[in-house]
This record gives sequence, structure tokens and C-alpha cells, in this order.
Amino acid sequence: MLVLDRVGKSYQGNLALAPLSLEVEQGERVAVLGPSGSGKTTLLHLIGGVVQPDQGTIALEGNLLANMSSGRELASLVGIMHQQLDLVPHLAVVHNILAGRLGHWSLWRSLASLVSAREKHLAQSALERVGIPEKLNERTSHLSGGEQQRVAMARLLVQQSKVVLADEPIASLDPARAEDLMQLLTTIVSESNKTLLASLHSIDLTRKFFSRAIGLRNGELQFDLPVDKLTNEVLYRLYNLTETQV
Amino acid sequence: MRSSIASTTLQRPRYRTQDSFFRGRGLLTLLLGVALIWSLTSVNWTGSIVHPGGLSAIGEFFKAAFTPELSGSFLGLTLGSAWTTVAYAVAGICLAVLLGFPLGVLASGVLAKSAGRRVAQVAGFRIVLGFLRAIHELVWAWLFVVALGLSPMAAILALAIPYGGILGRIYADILNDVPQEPLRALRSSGASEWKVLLYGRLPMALPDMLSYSFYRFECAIRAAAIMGFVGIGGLGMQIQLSLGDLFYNEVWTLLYALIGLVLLVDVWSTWLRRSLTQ
Repeated sequence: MLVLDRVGKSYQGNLALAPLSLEVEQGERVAVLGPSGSGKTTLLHLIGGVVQPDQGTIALEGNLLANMSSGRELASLVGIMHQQLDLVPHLAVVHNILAGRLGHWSLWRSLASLVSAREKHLAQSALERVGIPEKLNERTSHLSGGEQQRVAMARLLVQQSKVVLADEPIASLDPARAEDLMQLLTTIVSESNKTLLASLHSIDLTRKFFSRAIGLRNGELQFDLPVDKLTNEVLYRLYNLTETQV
Repeated sequence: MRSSIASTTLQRPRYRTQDSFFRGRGLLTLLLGVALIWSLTSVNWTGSIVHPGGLSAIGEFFKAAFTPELSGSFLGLTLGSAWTTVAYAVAGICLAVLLGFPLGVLASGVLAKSAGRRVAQVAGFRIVLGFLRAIHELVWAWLFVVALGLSPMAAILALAIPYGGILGRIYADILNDVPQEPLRALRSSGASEWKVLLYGRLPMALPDMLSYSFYRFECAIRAAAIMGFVGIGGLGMQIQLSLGDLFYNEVWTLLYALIGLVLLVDVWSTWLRRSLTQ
């Protein structure tokens, strides 16, 4: 499904991700763990086509990411949600959700939809799915952080990509809401047998909702294990501060 | 041991201030101060700065502020002139927005397909915008009066061209400065740069663009009034006529009308901006 072959990335000479190879099957739920600045976001951005690798190749369903000509093709394969800030606060919720359809719509249809929403039923049912159906016509900036994450999820639902990438989707939420949201995300993903890669900092939630975990540290892959093999010792080595970092 | 630490910490700042005083701003301040004192010697202190009778004229002018001309016929004239000025300003700013918006989008380079094209496009359209706003509206007014005669079109075009340049420049900057994260998310859901403009940049930029356009509308009212001085009509022309006749009471009536107009636009724009950003 998803194959990374010696993919590496640096920013202005600073290593963000050392060459890394990885294979993920359809329907797998992979947690990406590691301290801040370890390359988690870089990895997700590379898979999502947000940044281009310096070396190596990424293939989705056998198609090389580098060869995909249109954003539309990529969008049907990969969808991405971030920690926050990735909705347009000035638009109504319905338009932020339907933004997931922009890859399919013509420019004129996109413009017309801003005046009078097209395929509104898609947005409505996606919003029902994430549990806040009454917010359809509200201005997005009026929603709480947790509700905005639900809207971002609804957008991924209408985008209907086969792989879902989530970059610290719960980082700004309190523990109860974080677990709720993770539950929702993993349920939605498994219902349609999508593949999920999510970076997060909670070991408990990793054990509860994911099937596999990879650990990154200083841009290097430290481990790649099924979650039941995730021992405290492995985790200690991943997060442990070395002398030089203190 | 302790005393030596104390003495070094005491001494070090003193050296540092002395050092930087003669190298940095201190020296410049000293030089400018000397230059100022020296320049005072070249002022002719025996003559007067204000010409004879000037002071009393200023006095009369400000005294008239308390007794503006309030006769019915003059108020009617003021109202008519104010209407002309507002009409010029509205028409001028509307044309300026129509001109500035597409130029601003192009000069922001957000629709360019490649980095190379973006550089060329941004440079090219910024030069165009720079040319439009480099020439003051009064100069344009003078040129258009020569070309078109004393027609309202001269005033409107004279406003629209430099204001279009200014608005275009500001629109381009605002469109470039919106938060990038939502745009990145739109791109990853398959949106082209045109759609990113429609769904991301414009909605996020609109409140700022609108608020700046209103500020420019305020300026346009003042400019439209001033343009009367070249004879196109409106408050400015009446101010010039009354000033020429030394009817300061009438001048003040007209000035109050101008102040009232600017305040009105301010209130309106505040209200509109609030309803947009909520």
C-alpha cells in the first residue's frame, strides 16, 4: 500500500530525516512516536507530498509520489490533518468541510459553492459522523479547538483518501477530549479500511488505538514494532534525554 | 577574591558606556546637537518670521471657527458641494478597487505556476503599481483637466489611478501574509492555486483588505475635496473661492462639512469591519 524506500530529507543542511525505509499495509494503524523535533512531522509531510524528499522514493498503491502530476490524484490517495490552524477561520464550517472536494470540483463549481454550497448532503453527513451536526453553518472561528479538529476530520471524510495522516491531532486537547477524538478517528478509519499514520505523544492512546508503532529520534528510525511489543525499556530509550541534550 | 569580582563588575559597565558613546548613537547625537546650535546663528533674528499683518490674519481665521456661515443659501451650497465631493470619492474608490484588485492578485504572485514565473510576475506588476502611485492625484487631476476639460471624469480618473496603485500594492501584501497552514491543508486536499485563493487567501485577507479600502476611501474624500482647487467643483473649489474673498466664516462651514464626512466614513467602516470579523 505505502512503500518508502530510503527516503531522506534535510532542511538547509540540518538533517530532518535520515534515509528510512518503511512498508505499511492497507488498514494498518501506525503511531509515529518520538521526542519533539525527531522528524515525525517531516515524515508525515513527505508521505503527504507537502515536502519533497532529497533522496529515495515514496510509492502509494504502486504509484510513485514524484510522478503524480495533479494535486487531485494525490488527494484521492492521501489526506492530512494537523495539530491546529489548518482550517480557514473566516469561512463557515460547511465550506471548510467541502474544501475536501476541491480536488474533484472544477474552478467554477468551487466558486459557485461559496455562494450556495454544492453537495451539501456530503458535508452534513460527514459532520454528523464526527458528532457535531448542528455546527454546519457556523463560522469556523467560533468553534472550540476540539470541534475544529472534528471539522478537519469531516473534511478528510469527504476527501475520501485511502491513507489518512494526522500530525499530532490531539496535542492541544485535554486528556478526555483527546481520547474521544482518537476513538473517533480510529473508528472512522477502520470502518472504511483506510490506512492511518498519526504522530502523538501519548503511549496509553498508542497502545489502545494503534496496531503498530514506529519510533523516531534525531531523524533516525529507532524501532518499528507491533504495539504489544512496546516495552517501557524501548520507550525509555526513545525519550531519554542524553547528556548533550540537557 | 570577592572584592576583585565586585570591582570588575563595577568597572566593566563604565568602560562599555564610554566606549559605545563615542562610537555609536552618542557621537551622532553630539554632532547633530552642535549642528543645530550652529544653524541658529544663520537665522535672521532682527526681522520677523511671520510677515507684518500675518499674525492678525491667522487670528481672524481661527476666530471665524466659532462663527461659521450658517445662512440657508450657503448651507445649501455646502451640502451640494459635499455631495459632489462624496460622489467623486465613491466613484474614484470604486474604480480604484476594480483596478487594484486584479493587479494586486497578479502582483502577489500567488497564482504563478513556477518559481521563475512568480519572480517575473511579481517584479513586473509591482513596477506597474509603483508607476500608478508614484504620481500624486493632484498631478493626475491637472493632466486630466487638460485632456478632458473640467468634467467629473477628470476627477474620478485622477483619483482612481494612484489609488488603484496603492490598493493593489496593499492587497498584494495582505494576500501574501495570510497564515500558510490552512493553505497547505487546502493544497493537500487537491486544490489548485486558484482554489486556494478562493477558499483560503481571500476569506482570510478580506477583513484587512476591506478595512484598508475604507481607510483609503477616507483619504479619497479629502483628496476629492482638494481636487476642487483645480476647478473641478466640490468642497475644495468652494473653499478656494471663499478663501480668495477672505470670507473665513464660509471657509469654516465648508471645513466642518469635510470633517463631518470623514467622521461619518470612519463610523461606517468601524461598524462594517466589526460585523465582518465577528
